[in-house]
Amino acid sequence: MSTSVATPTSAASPAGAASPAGAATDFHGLLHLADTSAPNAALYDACVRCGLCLESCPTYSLLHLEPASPRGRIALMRAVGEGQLAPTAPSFLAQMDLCLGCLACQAVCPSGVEYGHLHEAGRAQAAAVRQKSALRRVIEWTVFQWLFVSLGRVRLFARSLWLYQRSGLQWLARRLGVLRLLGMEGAEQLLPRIDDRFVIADGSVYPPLWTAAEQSPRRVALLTGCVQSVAFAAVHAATIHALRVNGCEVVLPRGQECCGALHQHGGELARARELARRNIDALEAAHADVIVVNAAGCSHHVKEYGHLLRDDPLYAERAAALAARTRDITELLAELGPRPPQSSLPWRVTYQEPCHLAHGQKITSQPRRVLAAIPGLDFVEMAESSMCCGSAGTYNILQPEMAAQLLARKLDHSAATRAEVIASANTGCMIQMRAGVAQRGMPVRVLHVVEILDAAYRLDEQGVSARASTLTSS
Amino acid sequence: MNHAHLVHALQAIVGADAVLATPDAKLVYTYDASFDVHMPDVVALPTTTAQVSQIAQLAAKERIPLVARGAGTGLSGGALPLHGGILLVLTRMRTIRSVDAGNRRAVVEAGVVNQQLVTAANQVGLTYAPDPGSGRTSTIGGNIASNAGGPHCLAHGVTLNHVVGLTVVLSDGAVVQTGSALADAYGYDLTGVLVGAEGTLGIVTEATVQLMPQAEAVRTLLVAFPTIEDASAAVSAVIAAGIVPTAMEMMDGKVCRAVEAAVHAGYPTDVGGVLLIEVESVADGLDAVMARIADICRAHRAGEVRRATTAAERAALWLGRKSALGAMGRIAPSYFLEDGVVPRHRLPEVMAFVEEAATRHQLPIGNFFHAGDGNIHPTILFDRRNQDAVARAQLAATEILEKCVEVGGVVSGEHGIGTEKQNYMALLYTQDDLDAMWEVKLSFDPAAQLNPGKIFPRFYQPGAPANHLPPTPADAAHNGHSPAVILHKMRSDDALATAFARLVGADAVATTDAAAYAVGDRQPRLVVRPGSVEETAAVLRYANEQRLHVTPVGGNTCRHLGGALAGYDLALSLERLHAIEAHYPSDLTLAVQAGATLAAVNAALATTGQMLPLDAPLAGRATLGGIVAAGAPVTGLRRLAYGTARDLLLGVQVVRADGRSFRRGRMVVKNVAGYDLARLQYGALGALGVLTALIFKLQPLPETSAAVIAAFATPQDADGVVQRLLRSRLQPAAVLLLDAALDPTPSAAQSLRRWRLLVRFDGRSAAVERQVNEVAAWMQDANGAAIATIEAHALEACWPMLTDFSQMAACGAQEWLLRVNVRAVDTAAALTELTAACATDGLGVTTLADAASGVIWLRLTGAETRVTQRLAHWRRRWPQTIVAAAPNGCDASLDRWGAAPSALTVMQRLKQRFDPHGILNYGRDLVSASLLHADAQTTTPAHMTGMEVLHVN
Ligand SMILES: Cc1cc2nc3c(=O)[nH]c(=O)nc-3n(C[C@H](O)[C@H](O)[C@H](O)COP(=O)(O)OP(=O)(O)OC[C@H]3O[C@@H](n4cnc5c(N)ncnc54)[C@H](O)[C@@H]3O)c2cc1C
Ligand code: SF4
Ligand code: SF4
Repeated sequence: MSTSVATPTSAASPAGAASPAGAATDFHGLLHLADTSAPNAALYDACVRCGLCLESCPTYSLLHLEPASPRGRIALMRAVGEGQLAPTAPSFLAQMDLCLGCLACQAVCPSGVEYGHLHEAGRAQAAAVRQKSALRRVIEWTVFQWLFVSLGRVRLFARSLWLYQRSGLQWLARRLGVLRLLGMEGAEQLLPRIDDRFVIADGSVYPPLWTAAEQSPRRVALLTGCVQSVAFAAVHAATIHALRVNGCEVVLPRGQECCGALHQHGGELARARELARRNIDALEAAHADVIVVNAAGCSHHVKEYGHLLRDDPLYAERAAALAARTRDITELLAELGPRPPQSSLPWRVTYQEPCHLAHGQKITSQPRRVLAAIPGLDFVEMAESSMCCGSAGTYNILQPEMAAQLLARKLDHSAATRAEVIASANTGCMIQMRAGVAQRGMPVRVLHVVEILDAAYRLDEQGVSARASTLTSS
Repeated sequence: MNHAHLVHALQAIVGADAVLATPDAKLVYTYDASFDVHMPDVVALPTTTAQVSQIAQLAAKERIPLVARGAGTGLSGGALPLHGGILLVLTRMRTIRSVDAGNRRAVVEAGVVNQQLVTAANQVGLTYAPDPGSGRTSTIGGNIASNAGGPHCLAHGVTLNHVVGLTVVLSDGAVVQTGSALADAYGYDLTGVLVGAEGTLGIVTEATVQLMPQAEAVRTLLVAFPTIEDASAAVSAVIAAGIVPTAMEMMDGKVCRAVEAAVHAGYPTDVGGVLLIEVESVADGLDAVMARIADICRAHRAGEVRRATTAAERAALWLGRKSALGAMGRIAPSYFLEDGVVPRHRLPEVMAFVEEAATRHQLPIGNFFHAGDGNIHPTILFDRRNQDAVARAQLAATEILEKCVEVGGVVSGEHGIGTEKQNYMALLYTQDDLDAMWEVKLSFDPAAQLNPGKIFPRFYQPGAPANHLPPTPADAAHNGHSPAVILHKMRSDDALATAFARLVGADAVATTDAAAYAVGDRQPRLVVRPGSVEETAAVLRYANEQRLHVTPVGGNTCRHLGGALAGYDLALSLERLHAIEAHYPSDLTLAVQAGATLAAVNAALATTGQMLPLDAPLAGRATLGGIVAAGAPVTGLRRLAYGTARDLLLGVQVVRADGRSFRRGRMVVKNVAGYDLARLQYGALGALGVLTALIFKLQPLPETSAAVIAAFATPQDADGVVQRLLRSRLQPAAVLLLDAALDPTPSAAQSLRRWRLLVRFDGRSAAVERQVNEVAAWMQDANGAAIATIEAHALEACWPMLTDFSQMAACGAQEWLLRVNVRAVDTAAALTELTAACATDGLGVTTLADAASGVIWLRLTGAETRVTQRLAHWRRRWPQTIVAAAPNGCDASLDRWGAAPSALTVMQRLKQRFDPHGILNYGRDLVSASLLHADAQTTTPAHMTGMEVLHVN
């Protein structure tokens, strides 16, 4: 077995970095495509096995198995790294997959273990040796190599989805059990409901609705993303509007692509780097003060561009600089105040913390501050608010059982709050939560934090126009 | 059985998904948070006690080692399967069975995580006190097995003090319950021995734990010091000033910096060390206490003294403290974490030694520890791949632990011995000490299959293997074959006196005043009063050889307690052993010989403003050895505030029946080095050995005390106030429901009502005053009559009258004394029922009840048949009802102890191992009474049945 023994300094692997371009078109090629960077010894050495992360880990808290814990996974990666275990060992492969990458462990680790980076490498190492199931190969190829490499394709795919959802085809497919035959029943439920209108990053600029005196408005570039741009047009609309209310100029830079988080998560590091480079080119050109991202998974990923491209001589510095200017929308709004709405929004709201926000970026108080700025809003904390909902990129498609259990747990906790709105801040989580809520028939809406804030701003405007109309009519 | 069959058999028990058998899957169960690595043969994750029992049966049948594991956060390798075998991972047994707010009890499965229990308790306003740094991950089973401590154990005590009962699977698969959900249990304190036994005696599957109210107010101080020695000196100065904070934690500068990088809690990074000090209690007067602590710290060169002002700030500071160990990974990838305990006043010296060792061995050593307890955790940091560094680290670790032992400390305070500290046991214990522990091991686990190879030094060889079954007294008496017994039968009392006079001197031997040493109806043939431990040992060795029945006697205040003696040749009086061996005021610890009386000790301690808060009856006569040996029946009325002798006992010196003696415990407040032989003596009535010296934890004398009393027509009328107290955050020292006849105040005359409720508070003046007023108001609400406050002086004067109510020495010719354990919340209801029954039967009754603990004392007069009929009836209702004293001449076969504990077999094995000839108090304590009873029933003595043949290799 060719075990790539990592040295403390080398992150890139000696072997296996075969030409990605040619291999991209066939399934078998995937084996060579994956980046086989082995976990870095310095990363796993930082783990002193104290176990303080165990109970934060969603998979451990369901299975109570050491292999399914962060400490166990690190031990497996270490064993592979030190040559004690072959990378083909079933436990290693299984655990690299079962891990959600939710980073709850990293957030609580006192030793500063960079679990995210470790897992990313471990996953790539696993991908390099794995015999994948046919379904898995189809899905992964579609997702990573075809669909999410071009926003044009995403829109095309979304159009067909839109048709599928609206045309009665969906009904037909369900009735005929086609999906069950394909083993994709669960996956189908997770398809986002495609918005009628897409957001296209065409370079448009939206001026602020208000500016402070003697201060030029902040210029904010919005990363429109992939799924977000076709399925969450409303979130984009709210983002743009809310930022304008808070005195920002918002621009949608041309030429951006999917951020690449999905690819990275799936161990497709080369693709992820390529997308990052394209985005850096596009976003830099916008000359914005701030890059804002309204999906936590994406904002986290863009902030990691520096790490992702650390060995790229052309992009390393630029990536780090861009990452430093990037903010999650909840973070930016909290920085800006936000401007308190006048109108009261008497909703009972609970908050589900996206992993990539709470753990990945340690952004926990900001979204709550944004919600707290809304008059009349009745905020209730749910239990285990920062425990992963099971969405985790493609996790809910590839590990449906575990994902379903996590979702059920999350829905139980939110039901216990008797909230009518579940606030979130990430696309994946929202898709997952919406699917769950719909399936259970819960009378609950799942909205992005910025959508809730913006709902109040819209009420303000209606109020103003209503008042204005009363004024004129009297 | 080959591996595949074993796996198959386990799968049949727990299911396929709960067995891990491949090397890659087992790999992650080879480690815990310590340094060592050991591979199990197979891993099983049971979900029920029944499954654990089946696995134990399988392991026993196949002679495979069985090792329990919780979350694997142990720091000594306790959960590592040294000799392979089945690793039983209990993380899937995580149901909280019940949380009973009124009785302050919870029943939890072994795999419940400490934090999970705390959260559940918090929901009803209570908390579970032991708070190890690993609390967010470690399991209650693991906490119990290592007697875990934590920052707040300084005031609240360690796991031992909060675990009252266990469900245990023994190595043969038998499922037994130890202890009780009620305040006390009778028989030997197996719970106490299982706590800290590191899974070598039994697998704990369920625990009943004691909860306590969340504090009304908390103050947290962060104090910076230029050096760690200054901080250490401040620790003992605070204690010496009579203040016992709830927590007093130390971190050195290096650790502060690592922690700050990890959690940004606001720790200073440019200091020699910090103390994190917390005080919890009722709010009144708390700020003044904090101000005094701050002053003492400043007098020890403290720099910044910062008070946490918000709950968030406090939480951040604690998160920082609890992240300290993990944060060491920022400095080096591996560590040896030491766990020594030293007398607090030796801390500065020991810390200087640690620093010096770090320099000499050129290794960073991080220090973060429970300074208030003197429990140090020097964490020696190195890289495991550097062999030279590993060797130096080992050397440094050894030197530091040797130093701890040299200054009077021990080698483990809370992490256990496991695989890492085994050989240090020899620093601490003699062969005889270890042999005594080995007797315990084999009593529980005769084939030594549970977590084998642990705790004892690797080179340990049991000293005197008894490889044949010795004849028993009953046995010998039947057939008269034993020459020793013939010798004894032939000897006259005079010959006996002469023989013992040779051992202890003629002055110390008497046949004349035997009446004063009567136990039950029997008088000894001879009274022997040894003047030293050596003489005690000589007396016992000879008595054992001669098969003489010996009863150790202190003040003989419990002469009526227990079953009828099988024989009474020798009263072994400890009255000449009454010296105070050592008292460290700044450590609040005392070593004293067993014959010292409670009153004498407290008189001596009072001059330093300290006390041994035991409140046993007849303090002027009761000896400390006797109080410990008697156990539950002499617990004091203020146990709510101070605990019982079980809680306060730190160490013992015991002479065994054969004259060998052992010590366990030193003048330090935490100790998990080896089995807790001290707890084993609690309530054993001297049946396992004669106590010759004891070490206790002390308390500062309270600033003041006061009580409030009110009259009620029925216990139920007072119950509203009792229930309110049980659910409040007030901190009463005693809650007593008593007969008006016992009312110590003039109000006795002011109300014709039959009952009194008396609530006592000890503590700071402001706090006592406020609480007394509050309870007085509640009494008013509940229509209490003749409400009166009893001030400190009057309370001191009348208190002995109340504590002595339950004394057994002077039971009149016709008096019975019964002790009934009920659930605390049921005390009033039970009192109503008990007294009504007495009225029906025409029995005279006076009662006093500790309503906070559910302990009811009844003094009865009346016809024997009436009493025994009632007793049988009551025991069906309240199985833990004992006859503490019965009139002279009553039926000798009366069962004094009630229901036999379910772990009786283990207790019997203990008795047989420690006293194979049954010479010590035979027939009196619950266990030997059961053996005697069995002897009488069958021709084969019970000794011969339950006894396993020793396998020592
Ligand atoms: C960061 C950190 C901080 C710590 N802080 C403290 C502290 O402040 N105070 C403290 O006392 N300890 C502390 N420890 C040590 C450790 O957490 C405790 O010893 C804890 O009680 C172990 O629990 P566990 O569930 O992890 O048990 P394990 O490590 O799995 O096992 C410990 C021992 O218990 C036995 N065992 C486990 N379950 C059972 C059972 N059900 N029945 C019988 N035996 C069983 C095992 O055989 C083993 O001998 C700390 C450890 C870490 C890593
Ligand atoms: S908390 Fe960090 S150091 Fe501790 S076991 Fe988990 S990853 Fe390792
Ligand atoms: S990333 Fe999430 S799922 Fe993976 S080990 Fe860490 S906590 Fe567990």
